Amino acid sequence: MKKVQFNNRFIPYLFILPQISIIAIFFLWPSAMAVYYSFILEDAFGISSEFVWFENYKSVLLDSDYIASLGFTLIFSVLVTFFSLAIGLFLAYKTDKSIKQKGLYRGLFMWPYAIAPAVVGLMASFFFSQSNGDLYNFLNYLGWEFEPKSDPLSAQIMLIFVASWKQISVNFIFFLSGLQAIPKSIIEASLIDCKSSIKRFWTIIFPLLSPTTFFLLITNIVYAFFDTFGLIDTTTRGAPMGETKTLAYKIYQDGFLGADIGGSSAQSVLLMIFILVLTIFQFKYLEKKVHY
Amino acid sequence: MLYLELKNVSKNYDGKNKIIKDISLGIKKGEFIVIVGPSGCGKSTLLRMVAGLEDISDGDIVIDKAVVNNISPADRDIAMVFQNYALYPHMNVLKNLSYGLKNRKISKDEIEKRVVSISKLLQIEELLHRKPSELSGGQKQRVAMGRAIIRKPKLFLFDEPLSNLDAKLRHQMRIEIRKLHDKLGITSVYVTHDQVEAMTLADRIIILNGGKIEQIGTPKEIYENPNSIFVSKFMGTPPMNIIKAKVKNSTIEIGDISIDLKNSYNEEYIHVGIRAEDISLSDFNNSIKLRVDIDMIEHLGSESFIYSTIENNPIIVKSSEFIETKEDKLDIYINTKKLYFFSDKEGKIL
Ligand SMILES: Nc1ncnc2c1ncn2[C@@H]1O[C@H](COP(=O)(O)OP(=O)(O)OP(=O)(O)O)[C@@H](O)[C@H]1O
Ligand SMILES: [Mg+2]
Repeated sequence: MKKVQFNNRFIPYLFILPQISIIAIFFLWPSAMAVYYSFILEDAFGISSEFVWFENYKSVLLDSDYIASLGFTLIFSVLVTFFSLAIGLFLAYKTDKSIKQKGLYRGLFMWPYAIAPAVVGLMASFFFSQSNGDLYNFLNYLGWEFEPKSDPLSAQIMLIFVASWKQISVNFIFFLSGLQAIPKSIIEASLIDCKSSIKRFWTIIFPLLSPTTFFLLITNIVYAFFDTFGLIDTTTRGAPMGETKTLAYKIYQDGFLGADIGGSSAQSVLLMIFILVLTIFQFKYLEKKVHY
Repeated sequence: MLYLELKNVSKNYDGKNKIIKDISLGIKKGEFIVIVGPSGCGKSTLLRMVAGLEDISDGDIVIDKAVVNNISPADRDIAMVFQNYALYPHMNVLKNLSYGLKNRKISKDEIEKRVVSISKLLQIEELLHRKPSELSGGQKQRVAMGRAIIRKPKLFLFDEPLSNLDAKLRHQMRIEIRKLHDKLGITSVYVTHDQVEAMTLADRIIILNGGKIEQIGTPKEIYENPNSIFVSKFMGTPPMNIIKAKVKNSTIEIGDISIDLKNSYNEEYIHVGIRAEDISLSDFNNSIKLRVDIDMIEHLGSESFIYSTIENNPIIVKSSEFIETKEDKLDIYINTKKLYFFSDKEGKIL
């Protein structure tokens, strides 16, 4: 690489200024505000405020609602990540193997990627609508009393289903390009070495895909934690009784609808720390298993 | 007794163009067969059909008396060495070697025994715990060979295994491959487009051209009795000199000399072939003199190549002396006993 020397030593800083300011305005500043507000208790009318140290954190962590939301978020994230990764990988593998119509499959499976989460939520509410939603009718026809409006389990399953569906296409694209990056001769060598295609998949293809899988694992967890917000807001809104509230959605509800700025700020700080720890953990332990 | 047999084998990828055109051949147990031919003539396709990596459009492939057309690559009991080695990048050398054995349910003790002996044979004992990315090209090559040998397959298939190595290493590995073959005696089919590899490695050479077999024979037969211009030009460095000459009443005229043809021939032109080593710069028995125009002289130390032309036909002359001349014309003497005659239209030997 060529080394460029600038006459004025401030010019390089000028170049990175746009990037830095974006980070500052949209990440550092809000984060700092969240941390600040998480130590503040305002009265109900927002007239007086008081610095209360960790009071907000204490009440958040002692709140059974919060614990329930945490529990749901964890299960939700694990299942959404698992299903969207597994199905995305399965479809990519099958598409990669198919000789005819490869382009057609690729196109069809990629479409959902272009749909915004809120629109996906809207579509889901049509499909699962009590008044003549096709999937609603179908599930009830199968004999399952599927009532997303009143039954928490139904609502949770619906959300997991829709959230996974939305993410499958992204995973599909990444997995497909990951599969296509595996040298053909390695696949052929394994065809000679191993008869079982299932075993071949787990011993050769899956390990060689691990950089893709690792990357997708992290982005999918982040997706399940944060990006499903629009989906929840257009479908259940946490209903029936808060059983479908993820942590991110609860922050929004408590802060904007409940006007509990201190409490919701404390929650966002906790969520930030949680994701940070999770990501560090993944890089530290899982990355060792990744073969680049 | 034939060990590998191809019966009227054809291949087309798109349903129209045949890449392999009705090839039949038989290979005996323990033979080392080299398939040579220009790029795109279908060498790899043919080899991959034997391996089972490519469907057979027509015909039968028989390995050890069993038709294998519909048998999976893993069940054909063959091993293949790929041009880019195709080692499993996420496994260390040890695992690369033992992967195929484990999948065939061979006992741990046996695997270990074979790994020890193979890694000793190929001198890769120190590398067993390295990943392929930590190996040099030559070391990867050895591991790839090891992965094939350790299986003790019925058939070895090589697809240009040495073409990614530099000239020196290629030479060394070539010798090692032949030694290994002599030691293990496993029937081998080796694809290359390097005629030196073909000459030095093969028990028999198959020359492929445009999806058809041009000639099969031992290296000596192919070199001494090429049955077409294509073969004569393909084998030997430098390639055989071919002079296109006019035929008049069963005599040929090249420059100001004429040569009598033994047999009658009724095309207007004929191609006369002569190898560089059958041309001399001094008179000898059975020789005729030709006067050629010198284009360039190349000195390689032990020998010199004189690039010249006669009536627009390029002629390369090999000399063991250091040739220096200021003149642009030269007298050469060609051995009339070593002339080859090829037909004009088909380029076949007469
Ligand atoms: N999968 C494929 N689909 C269509 N055509 C193919 C395919 N693979 C090879 N071909 C064609 O078949 C012909 C023979 O290819 P092949 O790879 O066997 O040549 P080769 O003799 O091994 O050449 P090289 O010395 O360059 O490796 C080529 O014209 C090639 O374009
Ligand atoms: Mg090839």
